Formats: sequence, C-alpha cells, structure tokens
Amino acid sequence: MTPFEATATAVSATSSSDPFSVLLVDDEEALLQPLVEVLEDLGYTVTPAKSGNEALAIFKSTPIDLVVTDVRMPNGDGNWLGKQLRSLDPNLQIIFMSGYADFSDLCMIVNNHAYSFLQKPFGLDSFRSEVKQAAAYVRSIHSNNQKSRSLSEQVVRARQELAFRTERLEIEQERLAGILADATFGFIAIDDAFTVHNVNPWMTSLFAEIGVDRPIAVGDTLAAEYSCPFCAKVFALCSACRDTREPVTEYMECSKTEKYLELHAYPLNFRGEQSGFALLVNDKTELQQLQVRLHQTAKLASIGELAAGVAHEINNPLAFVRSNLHTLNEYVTELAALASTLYKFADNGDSLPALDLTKLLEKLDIKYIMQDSTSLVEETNDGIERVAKIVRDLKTFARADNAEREDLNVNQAISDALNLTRNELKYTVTVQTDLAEIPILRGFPQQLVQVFTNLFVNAAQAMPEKGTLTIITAPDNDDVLITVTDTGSGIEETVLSRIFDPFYTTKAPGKGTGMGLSISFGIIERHGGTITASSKVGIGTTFEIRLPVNPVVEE
Amino acid sequence: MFSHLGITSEVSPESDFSVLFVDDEGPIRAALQRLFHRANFRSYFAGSVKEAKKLLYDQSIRVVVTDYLMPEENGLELLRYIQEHRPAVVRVMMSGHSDLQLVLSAINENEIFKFIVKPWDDQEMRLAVTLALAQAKLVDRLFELTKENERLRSILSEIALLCPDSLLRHRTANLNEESEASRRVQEVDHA
Repeated sequence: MTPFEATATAVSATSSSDPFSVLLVDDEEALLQPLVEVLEDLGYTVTPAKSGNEALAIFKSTPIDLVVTDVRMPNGDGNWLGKQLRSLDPNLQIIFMSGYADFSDLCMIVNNHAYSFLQKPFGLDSFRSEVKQAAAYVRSIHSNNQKSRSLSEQVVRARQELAFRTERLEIEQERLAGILADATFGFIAIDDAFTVHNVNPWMTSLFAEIGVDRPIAVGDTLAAEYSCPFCAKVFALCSACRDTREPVTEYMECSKTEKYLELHAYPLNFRGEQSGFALLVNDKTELQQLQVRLHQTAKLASIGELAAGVAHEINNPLAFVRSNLHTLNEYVTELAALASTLYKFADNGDSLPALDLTKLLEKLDIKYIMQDSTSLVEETNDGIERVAKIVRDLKTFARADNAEREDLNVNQAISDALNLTRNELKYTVTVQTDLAEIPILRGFPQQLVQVFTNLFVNAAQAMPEKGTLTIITAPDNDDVLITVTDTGSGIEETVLSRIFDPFYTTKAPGKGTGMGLSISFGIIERHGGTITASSKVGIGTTFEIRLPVNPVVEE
Repeated sequence: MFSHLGITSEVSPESDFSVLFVDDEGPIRAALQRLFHRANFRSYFAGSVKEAKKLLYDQSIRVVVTDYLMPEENGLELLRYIQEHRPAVVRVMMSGHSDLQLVLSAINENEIFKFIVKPWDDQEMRLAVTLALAQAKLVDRLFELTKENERLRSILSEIALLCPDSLLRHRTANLNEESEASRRVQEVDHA
C-alpha cells in the first residue's frame, strides 16, 4: 500500500456526519439566496456561483461533492458547465434546474448524465428532498468506492502472501528433499503396512548394490519374501519397531558388499498420532576397520609400555651379571695361567721354587681372585634369579586369567604403584596417603597395582601444574573402600560417562590407547568390586573403588 | 692408542685422579669395583646422590659415573649439582632406562661426556672411564696453560714498558686484550 493510497483512503472516509459540500449555480440572485439557506439548514457547506465560468473556477479550487446548476445562464450555461465538470470528475453528480428547457436542452442534460432534473418553478420541499437524495447517493458511492478499494487491496495482499508462502513451502520442500537426497546415510520411511513413503538415493543404491531384484521406490511394499540377509534384517528390524514402538539399533556385516552397517529404526509420530516408522542405515565399515586396527595397536602399545617399564628392571641385574661374567672369565684365565705353570713343573718332575711361586701368585692376584670369586658367583646368581622372577611376573601379568588368587594387601599395592609412578608424580604432585588398617583380600596384587598405576598416572597428567593426589583406604562394612582424588582439571560430564569405554580417550593420538581405564574396570570386576568416578571441572576428580572382603566371583 | 694425549690405557704409574661411581644397587657397585680393581686410579663408590655429594669434597675425584634412576634424588640431579659446584669434574651417565628424552636432557642440560647404556660392555665402560680421565687431564692442562700464558704476557708487558719501541707496546696491548678475553672464557669453562 502506497502512502498516496493511505491518504486517499483517509480523505474519502465519509459518513452522514461528514461535511458535505454543494456548489449551487444560478444567475438569479433572488432564487439563489433561499436555496442556499435551505441547503445550509440541512447542514451542507454551500458555495454559491452566478455563472458557469465562476462555478468552474470554484470547482477547480474547492472540494465539491454535489453540483446544483441552472441551465440557462450568461457566461457559461449549465450544459457547458456540466461538460467541463465531467471532464474533471466523471463520477460527479449534477442536478440541473430549468424553467424553460427545450428538447435540445433536455438531450444535453441526459447526455451529461444528470443525477436529476428539477423543473422550475419547484417547491423548496421538493428541492430539499431532491438534494438530500442526491447527497445520500453520493455518500453511498463514496462509501462503496472506499469499501471496494480496501477490499481489492486486501485481495492483492492476500494473493501476494499466498504466492510468497507457496514459494517458501516449495523451497523448504526442495531443501528437505535435498537433505535426504544428499545424505550419506540411507533413509526410508514406511507406514505400518510396510508401504514405502519416502526413500533416499543412498538407500536405493544400497539396495541395488546388495542386489535386491527390483529397486525400492515410493509406493512399494516391503515384503518378507526378499531373500537376501540384509533385507531379512531390515524386515525384522522394521517389524520389531512397529510392534514395540521403540527405537531399535542393530549392526550387521554385509558379506556381499563387505560393508559393516548400522541399522536404526525408530517410530514416527505425526501430530500426536503414530505414523509408521523410519529406518536409517549408516555405513560403519571404516569405523569398524579402525576399531579392529586400534585394538591391535592398543595391544602393541601396552606391550611397548610394559617393555619400557620392565627394561629398567631387567637391565640392572643384566648389567652386573654380564660384567661379573666378564671378570670371572679373566679370573679363569689367570687361574689357568697358574695351573699351566704348575703343570709345566709337574711334567718336568721339578719342584717350583717358593719365591717364584709367591711372585706368580702375587702377579696373578690370586688372593683377590679367591676372596672375590665366591661373592662374584653369589651376586651373579642373585642377578639371574632377579631376571628370572621378572620374566615369571610378566608371564603372570600376561596370563592374568589363569593366575591363582593370592593374598592381596591393598595398601601394599598402593605403595608399589606409587613407587612405580614416582617419576611421573615427583615434579608436580604432592601425594597424601591415609591408609587405614584393612583386611587382607584374595585376588591379583599385580593387577591391582596396574589399576592404581593407571589412576596415578592419569591424575598426574590432569595436574600439569602443581596439585595434590590424595589416596585413602578404609574398611566399610564388608568392603574395602579406596578413594583416589586429584586436584586436577576435572572431567566434563559427557566425557565422564564414557571414560570406562574401551578405546575412549581424550589424549592426543598416540598418547593414550583409551584402554587403561577399561582394563582397570575389568580388573576391579574380576575382584567382584566396583569402580566409579565423580568429577567437577576445575576442581578435580575422585575415583572410588570398592572391593568386597568375600567376593562372589566366578573362579 | 691415546699416546698423543700423553696417556695410555695400560697400567701406568698411579694416577692422582679418582673416579666416583654412583649406583643404588650394591651388586652393580661390586661389579664396577671388580672391573676397575686393577686400574691405575682410585675408585670411590656411593649408593645414593646424598652419599656422592659428601664424597665429592675429595678434590681428587675428577670423573663421576652415575646411574640415572635412584630412590630420592636421581642421577640428573647429581649432575646438575656437580655442574654447579665442581664444573671441572667430567660427567658420565649410565642407565638401563633407554629413554631418548633422558639421554637428550643429560647431553643438552648437563653436558655429559658419555652416556653408557646398561647392561654395559666392559671394554666400553673401561674405555669411557679412561677417556673421561684423559678429558679431566686435558681440562687441567688447559687451566695450567692459561695460567702460564697469563704469566708470560705480564712479563711481556713489563718488558714493553721498559722498551721505547712503540710498535712493540702496541702489539703487547693487543695481546693483553686477547689474553683478557681468553681468560674470561677459561673462567667460565673452569668456574
């Protein structure tokens, strides 16, 4: 709506109480005056004029609703005036008055589309009623014009709105269709009778790849008789979803396409009504391959970590065993030198001069060799025994499942783990322990050390700047309760819910396998206990381990 | 083999330099004692960094061979201490922990002379200690020579004062500047 239209509407808003302006034209002064009075009594605004020319001039400068004019006048007669006025406003209503109109006058008046013609002389009453009638007519025209204008405006606006909305709907529909068309997952919407209502290209091509005999299209009905395992699975899943009205997720390996697929069916609701269900198919082949690889990598990585930790323990005894054997070899060489000298004399039947023998003994340092040999062999044996024990321990570690349960001192396991992680902890972490007297359990001490080691290392990594690690053990009814609390960065809730999942890690690639806590979880489970975590971001994390004194576990 | 350094690896007259071995494991210390039983230098043995620091009061100790991983203070901390208090002592580290980061920080931060991996080879260990002793001797020789140099220069400048030849005086002045610069370098090297 333009501003002009708005103004026009406002101006032309008329009603019976609005001023109504009449242009009254007659050259006879005596007649003009009473007529003016009559009209003014009716409440109209009256502008008198004595000639056609004068009237035309007034009309051009004053808003006029109705013209009442004499026909025969000097300086522009009524018919001329009518023609002039009509050319200015074709809808103008004019009442003509005349005392002696001839035929041609009447013809002109008719052609001028007069509202009416008053034959002079007329009574004031009939004049009044004629003008009132004309005024009502003009007003009704005005009002109709107004109404029709606003109606047509409304129609235009409604049409525009409709066109706009239609376009928007079309765009939205295209967009939605595009989303499904471009999707890199399969989508199919089915009603309860298994008729397909919507299927996207990814799904269609998956069906084609798998080799379903006919393509799946909108309007088709999924049937149980499809012979391929994938279709059977789809059918089963859809049936389950239809019957339970609950989302169902399943995974399957498709041997034909070597794909690992995730199938997810969920019920649809439309305006509160059950409305069939939809099936999503995701290609998880890469993820599956990745997980298999990751599992192998994790195995290798834990072997690597183990090897690095064990290396130091093995290399120390190995160092002195090796060096001692080397020394022993020198001793043997020297003893052999002594023996060969003795043989030489013995073969010749000579007796060795005492002085020479003393010199030889001194030169070969035989006294030292005799003194040292016993401790050398003892220490070397100890060293070999140490290496042997480490190898035995490793075997226990590797074959944890076959291990025998033994006495398990939780406090000792914590101390061992603290010793093992001393290097990681010492720079930034203050360790506080409050180890109460707790019962000795039955279990796998080495595995528990592994759990604590893992928790302590994680805690140290959560506190790269200074922090405190608090370890508390306490008896609690029939359980032993262990809490490990750090003052580190904390764990967000979304992460916290997943920390015991295998392979879940927030560490940079290569830095963590995501296996530590899930292995710990398994170990605690094997002891019939529980491990839980609670955390506040920015404040720290607490792990609570509960181990039963008399576990109910499968042996 | 090392004749050009003025020493040999053969048994030679008793050296006035001693070597300190630091390891928390008794059997390791015993093995090292056996290895260097007949060496021409005195060997000291410490079971901890604390003990080693006490023994270092003996100024004859010019080479330290220390383990890395020990309870309480570790080998790097000992090396740091030596670097600060006895910089002329030649530092050797040994470890069964083949951690690249450790080796790098030992070399870069503590300017170690050798890194020996456990289990060591006896020949290598002997060679490392012999070379470390030679290095200690070189450090001493350098110190002596620097001192001698300074003495000679001061004589020279006295002569220059007595000699009217301006050219000689000029040269002496230059030499003194150089000498001053090199003395500073030595100070830094030798603490």
